[in-house]
Amino acid sequence: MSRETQNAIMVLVGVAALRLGLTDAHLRYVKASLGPWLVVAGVLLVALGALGLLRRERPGAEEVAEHLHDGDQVGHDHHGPTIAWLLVLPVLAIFLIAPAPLGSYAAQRNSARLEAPRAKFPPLPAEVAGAVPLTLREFNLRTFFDDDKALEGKTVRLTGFATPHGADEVFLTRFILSCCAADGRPIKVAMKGLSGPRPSADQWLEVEGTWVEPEQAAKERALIGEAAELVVTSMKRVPAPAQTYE
Amino acid sequence: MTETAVEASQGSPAAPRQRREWPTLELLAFALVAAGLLQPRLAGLFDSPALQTWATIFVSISIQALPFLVLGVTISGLIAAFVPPSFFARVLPNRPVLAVPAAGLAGVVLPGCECGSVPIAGRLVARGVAPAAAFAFLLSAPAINPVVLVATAVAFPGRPEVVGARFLASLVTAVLVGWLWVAFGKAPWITKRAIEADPDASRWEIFRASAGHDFLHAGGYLVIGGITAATLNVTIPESVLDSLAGNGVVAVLTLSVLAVVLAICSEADAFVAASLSNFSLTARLAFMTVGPMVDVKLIALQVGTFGKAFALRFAPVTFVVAVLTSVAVGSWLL
Repeated sequence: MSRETQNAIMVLVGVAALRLGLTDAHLRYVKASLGPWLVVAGVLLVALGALGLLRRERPGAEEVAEHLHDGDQVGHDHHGPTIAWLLVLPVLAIFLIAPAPLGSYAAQRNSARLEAPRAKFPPLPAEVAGAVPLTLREFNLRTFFDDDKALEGKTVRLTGFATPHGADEVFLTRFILSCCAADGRPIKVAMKGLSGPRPSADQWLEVEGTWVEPEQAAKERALIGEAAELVVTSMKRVPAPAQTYE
Repeated sequence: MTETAVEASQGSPAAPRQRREWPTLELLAFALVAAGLLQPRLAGLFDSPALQTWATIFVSISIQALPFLVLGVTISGLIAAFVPPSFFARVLPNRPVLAVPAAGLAGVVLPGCECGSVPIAGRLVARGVAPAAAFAFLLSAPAINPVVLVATAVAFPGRPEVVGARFLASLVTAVLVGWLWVAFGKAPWITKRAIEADPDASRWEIFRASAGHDFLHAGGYLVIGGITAATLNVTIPESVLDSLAGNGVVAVLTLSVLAVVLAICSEADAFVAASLSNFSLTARLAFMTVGPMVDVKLIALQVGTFGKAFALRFAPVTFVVAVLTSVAVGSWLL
């Protein structure tokens, strides 16, 4: 791999990082807090690559490069690292495939396991337009671990995508990320009392409904990803949010 | 990096070696244009939900590691340009047996995850630091730095003993593996070394060339690691884990292997460990000790930085030491 190619690849990777970091696109793959660091990394890579490309034009640059020697003892072909070609793959994936955020396919494969919180739950958030807005994670935690049963008799509003389960069930689903999509774990809420056609996989839904108190056996299974249940009173299709993860 | 040297020498009649040049820049441009034209077909290939999920995880592992890798090669480049070998000779004990724990403790200062520490360790070896000490740093830095310890404390609220156990198990493993290298390691196993620039070149030119070379090298291997981890991630259903959680020894081994396979960044692995709540705390400690030291992404990076002969010995030994240390520390503290 020639010197120009090496530097061109660094610029390419930098541009891809900038493109993700400067738009909402990085939210599909990593936590929002990593966005600014992608921009920093992108700027550095573009600068390194661009300086490397410009360097060749300047007289005297060759002598410097000539003195650099690669310490590989055997089998080095006196070229830049061939392995660096692979860096083109994520760049192509980002620009050409633009993989979607994790959806129902990944959600069917595992479940988030919840641990009982140590502290007591704070009071429920205030109702908005007749329902308490909650994240799926909080709804599941309160379902299984809130001894005060604050959800009893309340109507809640949840937003997530549909994951078909078995023959006729459907889960409302949302992934939680710790760092990136590789550690994404789906939180699921089983929707009961649905009428009409089953929502199609990956359709985003805003759902209102009432809490169902879990049986003791279900509580024990919360540790291995048991889904909380919700009796649905209203459901509407909504566009996917920019931040699909919780 | 010697490319220009080859080109320059071709101009002179006494060129010592002529070799056919691949027009790589043209190839790159052609590949990009071709990929752009074929975009609808390429995207179509990834229509299936399985491949789409694979691509999502591949991109997210690559992207997540990128800032840490850039941090690592930046530090590596700065060391190459501004820190003379004599500095390390001065600050580290002369005897490798003592340099190992010192370098292991020095891992506290690197705020990042494992992708950054590999190129730095490669640079340290090139600067004349005893390999055993550099390896102790390589293993401890991703696990015992403040960012990772704080993340661990957040993931395990109200359980400071988990943070302490993680710190101790990681540091002890790093030092033990370093000492094993002092006792049994052989220099010829390290078949690759970071480039060292001529000291006469300008400082910033050395920085640019070293950081660039390290990035391209480690980055390529990172992509191999990302492909492997994404493939394992979408092919192994996690539900099989639940049947293995009950038995003490099996649980420890299961999560240790899972750490190798998932290749989760050390800043995030505590959250995953916390969520594996049907496993014992000792098994989860093993997950957090093994993960930052041995995983498919790291093995690829180590092959790229130190060579295959090294990585094939280093990774299994580290794995065994990390598991045993976790069990010992876990049964004492957890």
